[in-house]
Amino acid sequence: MIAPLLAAIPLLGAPSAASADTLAVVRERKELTWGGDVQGGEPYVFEDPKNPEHLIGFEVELADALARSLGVRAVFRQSDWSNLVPGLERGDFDVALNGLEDTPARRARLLLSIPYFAFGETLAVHAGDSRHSLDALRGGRIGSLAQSFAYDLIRSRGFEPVSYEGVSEPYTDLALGRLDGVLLDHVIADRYGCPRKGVECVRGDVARGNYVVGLRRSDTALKAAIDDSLRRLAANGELEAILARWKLWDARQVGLWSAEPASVPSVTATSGSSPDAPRGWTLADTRLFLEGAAVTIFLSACAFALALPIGLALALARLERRRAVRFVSTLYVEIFRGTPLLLQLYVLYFALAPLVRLGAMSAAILGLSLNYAAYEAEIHRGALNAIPRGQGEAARSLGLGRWQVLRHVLLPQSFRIALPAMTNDFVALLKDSSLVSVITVIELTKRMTIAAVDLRGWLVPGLACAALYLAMSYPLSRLADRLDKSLRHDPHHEPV
Amino acid sequence: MIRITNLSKRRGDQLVLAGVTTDIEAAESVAILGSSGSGKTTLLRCCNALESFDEGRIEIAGFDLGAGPGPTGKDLVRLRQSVGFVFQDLYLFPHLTLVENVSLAPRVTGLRTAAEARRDALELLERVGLQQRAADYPHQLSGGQRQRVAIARALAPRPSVLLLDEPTSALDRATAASVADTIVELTRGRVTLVLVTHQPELATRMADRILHLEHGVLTESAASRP
Repeated sequence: MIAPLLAAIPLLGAPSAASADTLAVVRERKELTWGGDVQGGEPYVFEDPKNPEHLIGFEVELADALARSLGVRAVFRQSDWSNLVPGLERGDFDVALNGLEDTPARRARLLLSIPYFAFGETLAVHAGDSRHSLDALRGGRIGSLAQSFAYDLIRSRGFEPVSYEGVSEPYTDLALGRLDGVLLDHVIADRYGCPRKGVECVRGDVARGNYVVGLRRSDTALKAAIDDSLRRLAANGELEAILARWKLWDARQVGLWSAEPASVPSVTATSGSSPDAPRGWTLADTRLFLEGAAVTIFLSACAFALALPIGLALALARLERRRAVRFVSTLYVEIFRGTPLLLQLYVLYFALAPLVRLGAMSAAILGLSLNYAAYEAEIHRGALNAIPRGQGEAARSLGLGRWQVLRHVLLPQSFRIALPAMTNDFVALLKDSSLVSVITVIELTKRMTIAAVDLRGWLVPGLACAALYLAMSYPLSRLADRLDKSLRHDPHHEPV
Repeated sequence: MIRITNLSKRRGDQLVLAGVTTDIEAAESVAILGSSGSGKTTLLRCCNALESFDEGRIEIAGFDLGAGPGPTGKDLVRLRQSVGFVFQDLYLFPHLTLVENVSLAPRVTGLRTAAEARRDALELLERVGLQQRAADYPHQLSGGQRQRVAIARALAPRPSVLLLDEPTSALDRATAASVADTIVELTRGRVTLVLVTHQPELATRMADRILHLEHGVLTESAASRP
């Protein structure tokens, strides 16, 4: 029964099919879609402080330059940074272009372009701490970005890094003393870490690496075209101009494309740039937050509308006489209640991607509804069980069939009983919908985390986000209370 | 009209009905007297296929019920339409008004159109003296009024047999007598009436003939009315 319901969901953000020849597809649709994470912040790709709907950053300019040299337009696709590779593989975008480091693991999984940027890994420690190497910090807590080169580097030294999703949070924790060190690309360290009070960046790169464009393994033609374009941009000075504009041109870049290996300077050549001063809250932020709230409501309402019939069907199946039917329904409820919603979303969006290609919004709605159906099933089972057995018998004794009994006698009564619990469940769903940001949907909570990076603070966006959630959930909670009270005093439910 | 032959039913080790045999004429009114636990409710439920039985046979309103699983599908619907049942606990539908309670079955089982079912229901409510309350809900009624609605609801599909389980046990003496008279008035000469009760005075008041059921064994009473 799920298939026809699914067909009814608008396939918002449905991914382009991963075709065998993406280059031809790119040329045909005159668009090169590139995946990145706005949450990564300045200087990669981030919202323009003057106009948060407009994206800027050195990678935005690079993507534009690459697309131009292919004769097409660059179109940005939001993806959680830690999910860039699976997102690319499932066809959400044509290339991954967002501080993607050249690592053996990625080489094994993807096609990688020639480098467009050379970075160093910068170790940040507490100001005044004399331990200036990873080995000296052995046994301590080192933070880094999940899935990053630095993360792998820490692990290769034999200790477990503390994993973060955002670039600013590790340094916050370092400054707060929750970490002993942070290892991240110098681009991030220079902007989000080193200028911070209480944080000291160790001079000298712990390691060197390159940023590259990631492509699907089958896209050899597109890789050749991107490599050609990069060489052209390097040769005609356009790449240097872009990097210089973002204060990213430094000694590391010299010789990046020459035949002989670059000489590795022994000292971190800090770009000397300081991060832009944190910007304040703007009207545009308010609009984006309201839009985020609208997405939250839309996907919660759709998910609940789907969860209801599925849950009802499950509840009826659990009250079935046939054991097999009961078993299947019980199994469903136990699996979906017994595993994290987050895991279910990952499985639905990434693990099942080779089998079912769902757009992010469809996957979000389906994932939430499949999960909440299990809870709805229990609510409706309880409500149906609360109706005196005689009600069904009386209806049957009048000649009503099984479905007529349900439709005309049992469900109208059980719905009334279930209504307060259903309302409470909807409030819970509203809040749980924040989890879908992991599969790239930008709803209210994700909007808040993006703003927190841009504003370099959680307080204002956090309060705005909380206020919007409360504005949505409080009236519903009140409604649930009132329904509950009116049910308890409802004379319709006195035994007659 | 009703012929029960050698009907037996076990519940675990216990023999609830032990070879019950009886004949009931069309339009006859029969009371089955017995103390609680005598098996009288079970006997009634077997007649409407709400329960199965282990041995014997029930011929009722042109249907032939044997041991084991009862009729299904359309047969079951027709049997239920021909054999009305009033439960001891009534089980009026609390979410429906009186007229909706009475008209529901004929309407949704396709016996009548919605308009016909409603007209019939209003007429039945009038005959039990509740036409003014048609738009009220069951919880707004007194015990005796509810009993009358339950009877009207059971009669709405125009059954040829009406089974009544302790129809007045929850009512005071005067109300019980009045309800009993209404039932007789509505069914006399047209509907075969089988009522089970533990009250001898109700049996005498309503029935042409009284049977006794004790420990699952049915016996004819000497004190039946002529």
